[in-house]
Amino acid sequence: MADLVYTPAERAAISLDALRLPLSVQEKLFPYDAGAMPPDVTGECFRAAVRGVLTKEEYAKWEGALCGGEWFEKLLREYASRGVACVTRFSHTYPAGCLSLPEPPLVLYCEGDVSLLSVQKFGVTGSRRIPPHLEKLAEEYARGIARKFAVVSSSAAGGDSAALRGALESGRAVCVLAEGSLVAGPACNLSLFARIRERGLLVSEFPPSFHAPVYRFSARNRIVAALSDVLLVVSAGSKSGTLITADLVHKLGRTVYAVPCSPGVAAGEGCNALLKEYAKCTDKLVDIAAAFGINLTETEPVPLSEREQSVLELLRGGPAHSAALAEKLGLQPQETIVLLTLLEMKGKVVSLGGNRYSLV
Amino acid sequence: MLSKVKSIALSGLDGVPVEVETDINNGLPSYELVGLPDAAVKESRERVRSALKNSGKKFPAQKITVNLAPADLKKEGSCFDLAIAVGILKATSQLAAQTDGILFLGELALDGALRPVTGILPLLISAKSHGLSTFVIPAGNAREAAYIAGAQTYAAQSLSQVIDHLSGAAPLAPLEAAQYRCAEEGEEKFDLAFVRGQKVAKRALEVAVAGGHNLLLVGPPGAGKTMLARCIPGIMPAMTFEEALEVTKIHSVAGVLGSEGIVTRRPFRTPHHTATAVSLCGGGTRTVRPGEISLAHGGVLFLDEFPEYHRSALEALRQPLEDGQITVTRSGGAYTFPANFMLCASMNPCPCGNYGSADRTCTCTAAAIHRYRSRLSGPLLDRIDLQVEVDAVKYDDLVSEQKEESSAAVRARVEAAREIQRKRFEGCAGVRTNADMGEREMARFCALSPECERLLRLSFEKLKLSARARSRIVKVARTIADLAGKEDILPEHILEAVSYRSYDNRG
Repeated sequence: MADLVYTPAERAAISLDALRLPLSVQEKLFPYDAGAMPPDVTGECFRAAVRGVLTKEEYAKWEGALCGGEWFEKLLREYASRGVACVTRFSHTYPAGCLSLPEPPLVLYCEGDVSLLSVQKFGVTGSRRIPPHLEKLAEEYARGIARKFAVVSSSAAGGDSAALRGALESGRAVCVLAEGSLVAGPACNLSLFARIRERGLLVSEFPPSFHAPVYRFSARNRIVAALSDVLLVVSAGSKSGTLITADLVHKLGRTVYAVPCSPGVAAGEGCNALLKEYAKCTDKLVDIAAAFGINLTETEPVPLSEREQSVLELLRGGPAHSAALAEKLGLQPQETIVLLTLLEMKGKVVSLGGNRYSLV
Repeated sequence: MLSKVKSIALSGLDGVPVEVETDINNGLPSYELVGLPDAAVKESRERVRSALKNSGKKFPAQKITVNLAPADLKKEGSCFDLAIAVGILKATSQLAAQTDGILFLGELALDGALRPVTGILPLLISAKSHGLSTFVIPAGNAREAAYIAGAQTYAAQSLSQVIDHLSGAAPLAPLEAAQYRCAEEGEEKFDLAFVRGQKVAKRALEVAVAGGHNLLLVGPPGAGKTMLARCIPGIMPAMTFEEALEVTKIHSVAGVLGSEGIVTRRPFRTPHHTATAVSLCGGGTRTVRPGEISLAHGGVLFLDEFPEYHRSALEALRQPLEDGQITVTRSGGAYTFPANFMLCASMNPCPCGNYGSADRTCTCTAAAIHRYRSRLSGPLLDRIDLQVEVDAVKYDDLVSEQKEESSAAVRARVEAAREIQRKRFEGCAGVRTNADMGEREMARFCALSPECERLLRLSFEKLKLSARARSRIVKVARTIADLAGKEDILPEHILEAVSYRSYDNRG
């Protein structure tokens, strides 16, 4: 990690990115339509362009960066010591999907296994306000998919974090952060980030200690979309940011799957809209497994007692309160709780809060 | 002429005997009160002067010096008025009676009437242990004092009654010892029979009380968390006389004792969430008074809207929750108050309150819920063995004719489980309930079968519980087994206990 060597073009990109120039200026220097073609950074033409956008002092500082300026070497050493690898638009590891974006990030700051950028990846995403049973479903999908693909999702709480958690259980995960990796939140996901750093890849378009404004958070979705060769949407409200991801993936000409939801459930309106337009429908992991040849080593069916069977049968009618179940089963409330806890441990039901339970 | 009269001063929950020495000399008329008196004691000069005059006695126009010995102990409050008045009467030979071995307590009104003072019970109990057994106290404190056995206590209405009693002109009859009678069933205002539905929460209440566990009720606004909590004292075992005496001592010192004279019902304290750490734990600038947790001793401390309390106030609860007592240290000394209470806390599941509700949608993001819940520190949640979700009451439940179980029936089961625990922990000092168990007791009394061990391991893996939850789950399982009258902990007991930790893994 320590002896990362950057080409002059990469150095130019990293050093200019560290100055956080406005996007319009960045585009002037590194035109989006040039794609991965590096500009001739040593040429007078490029230098003149940079001189045009920087102040005199900044320019002198930047010029030093190209030929081993102290501040830039220090910056690179700092990145290296934090385990941050910079993948610029001119690096051969830069993901092809990102180049097709309308605003391709100039530099991707990566922590973890950079080779994950070039393998096939499956995006799994869900909204932040996700009902518990769909959260479990996202986890289960990701767990299955991660057997074959790396799973991509964003750092948002809710469905996306659930997908990342599930993926880490059986494979690898790529998490796209909304801010620099040192300052990225939400706080409840910090331990998850640490695990991904070890067993997957954290990607951000911002330098490690850069705080992005909140309105820029949804910009990460375009990177999730670019990294996803296929996308699965587990839950999405009618105005969810998840829909931005889905639309981008669709525009890139890739397949989008969505989980259908019963009408009237806010967390599923977006999914149903996607299904109406272009998404493929999936309601079980086996759909995806069959389509992509994922080998789901069938775990032997968990033995269920007669009582447990009858609880599951009752829950088929929709989420139910434990007291209502007790009444229908003719059991004491504490006996019902025992059954439900056991079923929760076996992964058959999930608690929705407020003593209500639902099938997974 | 010199006179000496006995009284007693309050220090924490104990009394320190005080000798009131009065000396009268010729000289310019003056009245000096020495022996570190506070403002209330100093003002006794005016009360005593008027009270004597209005009781038909003379206040000497001489140089009077009153010393409260020991002189290095700070004296507070108005309870020395009576002793000072008697001292002056003796020193001026207006009263010839023998007062050795008699303890005087009481505040004087200007007309000579005696007013009740706080802390009479702990004061008289201390006085007894210091070898005094004859007390003269205000009539307003009579009911409280009547519970002190083996003492001759005289309750007087006024200073002139005391004078007549001492001089033998009209002797008072000693107080009759009161019989302790604990609060009877049906006297409780809050009964589980009035709580509709909420079967899961009621069961959790029963388990919590049976094992002395602390309890957290989580539910949307209006779900009936407060109502449930108020029912807890009613299902706790009846107070024994010793317990009642101990609770009364604290309430007496704090001046919150009702008219019954002794506390017969388990206390239920609900400090508001603006409470400070000092008001919860006890303290004060001059007098160190017991705080809410001590007033809840033997009963329930109910903290509504748990996350809204100041962090410092909540963290201050940790040590008393472990030790069952609190030591308040001030520059003037350290005072230890008992604080063995059951903590019952309640909170909403999320900032908007609708998380998990069947018919109202929660508008909080996962991060907002996480932030809300993380206001409670891990170490504090560690001390709360049961976490239960209370759900909004359904209309059908409210109007249903179904008969709900009464508190008395639940109390009978609780008492049976407590009896099992009492026998089990007979040789273990400091352990009275399952919740008090340490590692040693758990190894002895909570052996798990391989099947239970396997289930427990599985539940940790699948439900992602924190490792710290293990001992609490086992303790609660022990209580559930006790309620079922089982010698060994069975798998279903473990599973039920696990279900009461559901709050740990989420958020």
